[in-house]
Amino acid sequence: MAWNDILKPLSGWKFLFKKPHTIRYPKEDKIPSERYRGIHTNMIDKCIGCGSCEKICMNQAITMKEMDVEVKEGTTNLRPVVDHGRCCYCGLCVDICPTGSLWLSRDYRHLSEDIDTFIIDPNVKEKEREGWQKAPEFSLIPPERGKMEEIPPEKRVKSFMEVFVGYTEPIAKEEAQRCLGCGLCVDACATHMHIPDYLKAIREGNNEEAVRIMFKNNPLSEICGTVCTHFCENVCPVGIIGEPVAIQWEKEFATRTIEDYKKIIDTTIKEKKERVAVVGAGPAGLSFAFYLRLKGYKIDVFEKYEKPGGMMLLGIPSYRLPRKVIEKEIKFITSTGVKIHTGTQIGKKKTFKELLKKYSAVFVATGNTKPYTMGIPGEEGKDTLQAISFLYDVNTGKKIDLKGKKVLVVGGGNVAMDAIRTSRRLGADVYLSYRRREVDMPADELERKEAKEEGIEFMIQTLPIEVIREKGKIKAVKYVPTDMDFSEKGKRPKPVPRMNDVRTLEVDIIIEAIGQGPDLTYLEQEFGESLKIEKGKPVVDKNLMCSIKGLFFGGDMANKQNDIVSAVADGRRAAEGVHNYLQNK
Amino acid sequence: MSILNKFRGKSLWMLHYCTGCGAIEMPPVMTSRYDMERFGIIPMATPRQADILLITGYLAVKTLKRVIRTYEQMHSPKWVVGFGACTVNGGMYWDSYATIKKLELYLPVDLYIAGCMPRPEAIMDAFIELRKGISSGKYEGWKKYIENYDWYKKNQAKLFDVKKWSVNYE
Amino acid sequence: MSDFITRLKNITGLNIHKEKLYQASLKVDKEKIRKTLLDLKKEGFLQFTTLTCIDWIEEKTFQLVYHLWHREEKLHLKVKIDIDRDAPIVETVSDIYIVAQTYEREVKEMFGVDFKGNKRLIPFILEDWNEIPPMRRDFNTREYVKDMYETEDRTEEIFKPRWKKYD
Repeated sequence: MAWNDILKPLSGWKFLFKKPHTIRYPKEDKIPSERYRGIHTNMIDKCIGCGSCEKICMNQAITMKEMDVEVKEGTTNLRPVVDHGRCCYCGLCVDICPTGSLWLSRDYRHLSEDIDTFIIDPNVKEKEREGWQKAPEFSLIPPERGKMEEIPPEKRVKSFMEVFVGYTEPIAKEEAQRCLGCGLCVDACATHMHIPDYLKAIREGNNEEAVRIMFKNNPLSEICGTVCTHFCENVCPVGIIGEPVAIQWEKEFATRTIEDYKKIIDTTIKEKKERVAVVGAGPAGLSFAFYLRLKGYKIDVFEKYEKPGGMMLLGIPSYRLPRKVIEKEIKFITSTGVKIHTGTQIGKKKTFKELLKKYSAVFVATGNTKPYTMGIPGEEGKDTLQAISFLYDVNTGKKIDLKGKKVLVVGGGNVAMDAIRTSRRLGADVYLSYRRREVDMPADELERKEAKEEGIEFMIQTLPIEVIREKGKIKAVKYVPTDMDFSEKGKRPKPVPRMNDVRTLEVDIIIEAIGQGPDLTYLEQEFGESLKIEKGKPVVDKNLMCSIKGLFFGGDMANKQNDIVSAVADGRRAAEGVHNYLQNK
Repeated sequence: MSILNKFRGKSLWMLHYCTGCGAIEMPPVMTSRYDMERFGIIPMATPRQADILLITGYLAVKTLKRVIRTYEQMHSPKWVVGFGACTVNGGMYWDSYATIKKLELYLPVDLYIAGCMPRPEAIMDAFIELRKGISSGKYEGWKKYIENYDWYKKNQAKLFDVKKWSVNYE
Repeated sequence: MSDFITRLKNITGLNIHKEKLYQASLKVDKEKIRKTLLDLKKEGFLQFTTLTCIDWIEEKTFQLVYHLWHREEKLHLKVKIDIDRDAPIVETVSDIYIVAQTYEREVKEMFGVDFKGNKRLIPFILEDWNEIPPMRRDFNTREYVKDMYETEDRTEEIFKPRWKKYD
């Protein structure tokens, strides 16, 4: 036995005062790494309830449950509940979540004897939480939409040709793939078009099926694909990641691939005896006529002007909505057997009472034709134009020369945008006066962007107070800047004019585009007190029937939204309403 | 009996049935990193001496037979710990033809640990919880198995021949 | 590599496609599989990597793919044969490559393809299996799982469009 055999083992004593390798759990805790994926947390207020997490989960671990939450525009009351007996913490739900409300916390401990307790409600209210969240630079869905070719501003101000060229097939297919299939857009759309369904059809290259799905809810799909207020895109959750899915352009692409709708859409009709009259061949009247015709009724449409189309034809300039698009849609609607009598104004020679006697029901959709005025000194007179009459003149081909003239357009809606861009195309120097901030403008963002590109000067937060005239001709406009008053919550801010800061602008022509309302004088003359009117619009029930039996109202004159798609929705709803009314009569 | 339970909770021998992927979390628990011997729990090689049966992860029908035979060979009192999502509700094998989904249909599970897979701390938590529960007499799955023997056998018989794979089955 | 494939073509008279670097494939008739593999083994394909099967249910065929590996030339060769799905019988290659015995057992169990002449075609990993072989595409896994293991399949509920209420 050597000394070494005794001494060597003693070297083990050197570890006596070292910190032990063992983690003395539970006395000392080991904190998991920063990006550890544990049990879910979901911000209940930030979540919009789109259900993308439920759809992407391979293990079907997530169930969307109805919860007691406030439902805002573009959200649902569904929130995820996760079964941690199935979850494998892959984090796909977090990656797909468009709002980023769903996280995987660093908490991973859950013990139980009962397997039902593994279904955990992850919804929390607290703002402070930590855990694994979606990386900002990474997205399962491409944040940018497919690019569309556009005519450059210098070229397009010289003519009335369409600004956008349209999608090509490969880009359209790629763009359709960005859809999450949540269906929030369907809730937002006035006429509830089945958007995820037709995007799926486009993705699969089946444009005919896509158009068939569109026409179930909207017989003016191509027009809506070209000009629409696209509430669908405003609520699209992909818009939170980047740009929303280009639903409108997809629709335009699919409809333009079809030469003749008659060939692909089934329009076999079982004829019925009843006859129904429609007053006004605008979007509401046409959609009403189409859907009621499909139910078998005989339809007569009466239109004041020489061509059917209403405000679509007379109000919207052709660089936004080419005339051949309107003609194509109206040709399809008339091919089902709808008769359109143009140049026939109801209320003058023919009266509404006559129509009610002759027809089983009458649908009135004459739109907003009476423009509002500013009511400032010097306003009335020569060279003060109303935007809709100005657009009507231009669209009907009347020669108007604005070359070298200075034009001031007052207003911030889409009509104002049409007015400024049309007058720019006629060669004028254009100024736009709007009394609120630019973000408050009701006009589309795209329209505003394009208008600026075309060299139109935006005078934001200004209010004209007086028109100065010299020998009857307009010389200048006095205006004041405004301040915003945010005291009323939930509403748009109120403009407060700064009256001591008066400025002047030399102009030749003023175009007013501050809104319009329905013209009900001829109806009032005929029906008097028996027709109930509130805030300038006729009162209607859920079937859109007014206080007089058999008389239905729809379109701009009855709804608040005042756009094409709402008018189409009204027409469709009224068609159902008339059908119910005539069945139960 | 309560005094007996107190002693039982202090010294537990564990049989770990490791065919699932979760077994990879066991080495740190058993060895010096987390050192489960601090709680009087040591791994045991045979079912006859073991108190805890730890099922780590999924069980195929084929392995379930062996697990049931193992469980029935263990002496009472005995406890089963289900480990990971697979034993709770099938986990990521929820649509596989080969694996069972809910372990509690075939064996009386006393405690489940969530996770895919659970971290060693969660396993340590489970052991602490189990020790407490055993001392207080809360976990009595083995009694449940005897009382509901026919129900368990009926569920097992759906998958395989129970006569061949059970110990002492009349 | 290409030289080797050309030489191989000349010697065996087989139509070999080069797919990638180190990878080539070849399609032969069902009857010629034994002769082909014998020839290839003589040329130096000593390693039988695996045997896989593909269920082309629309064409009513099973495609068997024999994966071979040439060590010196570093070539992975896939030999494919098509067999009838209704009568899936093929001659064994287990006497040429002894490892094929096990792979054939697996394919027999998962797809129900019979290998004539294989001496060890006994059950493999499935026990007490009374259904059609599970890897066949006409085997409805979800249905089977629902019956056997009391689990729920919510696919329909999850992908049901919420907007049907507007129809």
